[in-house]
Amino acid sequence: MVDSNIESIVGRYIHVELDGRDYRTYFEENANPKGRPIVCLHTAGADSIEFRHLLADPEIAERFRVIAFDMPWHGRSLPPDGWWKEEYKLSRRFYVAFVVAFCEAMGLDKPILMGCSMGGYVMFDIAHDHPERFSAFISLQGRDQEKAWDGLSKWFVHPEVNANTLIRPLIASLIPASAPEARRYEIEWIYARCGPGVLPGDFHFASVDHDSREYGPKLSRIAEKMYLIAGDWDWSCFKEHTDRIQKAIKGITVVRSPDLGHFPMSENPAAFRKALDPVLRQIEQRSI
Amino acid sequence: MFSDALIGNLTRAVHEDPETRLATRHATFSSLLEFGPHTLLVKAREGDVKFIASPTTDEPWDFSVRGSAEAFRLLREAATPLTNHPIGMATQGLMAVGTATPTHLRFEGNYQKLYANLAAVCAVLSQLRHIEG
Repeated sequence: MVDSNIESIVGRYIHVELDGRDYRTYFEENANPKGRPIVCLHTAGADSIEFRHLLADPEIAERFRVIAFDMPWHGRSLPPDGWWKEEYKLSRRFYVAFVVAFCEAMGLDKPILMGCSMGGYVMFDIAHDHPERFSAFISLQGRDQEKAWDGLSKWFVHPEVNANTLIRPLIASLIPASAPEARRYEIEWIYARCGPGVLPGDFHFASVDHDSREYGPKLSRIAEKMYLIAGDWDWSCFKEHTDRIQKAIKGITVVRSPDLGHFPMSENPAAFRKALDPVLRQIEQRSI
Repeated sequence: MFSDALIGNLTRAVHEDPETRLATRHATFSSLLEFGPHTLLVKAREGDVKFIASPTTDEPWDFSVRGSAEAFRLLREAATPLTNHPIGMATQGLMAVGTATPTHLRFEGNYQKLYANLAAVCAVLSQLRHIEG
């Protein structure tokens, strides 16, 4: 018997091995194990709960198996033993390798990869390093390089600053006022739960280790697989940033939305679907 | 700009709005708002928030929030968060490619105090959008 009050989303753990360490990794998926897989990467300092609206979307579930996982140190994926003796700093090498290792551990064959913010930045790095492993790359609020985030890092671990109150206005400033009120505050809550030092560690990837400008033009070779969705209400992802990527990756499909901000999938699920649907249709048609 | 009516309405809004009350309940800071030639001191002590127009040197402050008269107008507009959220107004120019996008607000001074109280500062500033005066 299925209780109609229970959502169709299922959460489980998978053990992902990388660099000799075992990462017990939490993931959620929707109710279509036979659908075409879309693997979703969350933003810096957050976790897979950001994709809950997409995971619960019955129309999406008719065609796709949506999978969202928590990176180690995030959400329900605990950091490995010994975390208390090392500063968490997400590197490009680890991030790319972990996403690939997760997909391998899940036994996924050329899934669609989609990520937001830092998950959108790494899309270009993975597309460069492993173009053949994925059937499409969808970058949300993606940037080829972004130097400013890391400047805030110190204050998220400062003993006289409460990180989970500091983060709320910063997050609020990246969300359009047109988004439903409850969704806007939901994102503030998600960020306020972030573990100690995790956001600065993620900023290390976003602002220090990630820079795809040099190999952007090389991605033109797989441009038919490259998609960029960017909302206008985001002071960290202006149209000029998107234009720069579009100029470098000849043929990339770009969707700019006036209704979205930095967290498209969380802040306004309906507006996100409107931007995402034509991209998914295009990917499906290309595969026929 | 900082008329008696505006200060009265702002004081009332800050103390009556539940979200702002929560955000300021332990806030302790003094901040100078300066827009064009006009200044207003925001003095918060554990939830008690006071506003002093044109403060003298008798009133020290921890950090300032500065912008033009146009920035003040934008801050009070309700429709466009990219340009009227205090954080967006302070950071958008820094994040932009080139100089086409202006930075409307500058936060300067004791950054530890600023970041410790940022939620409260933004809550107070956001009330400027909802009041008359």
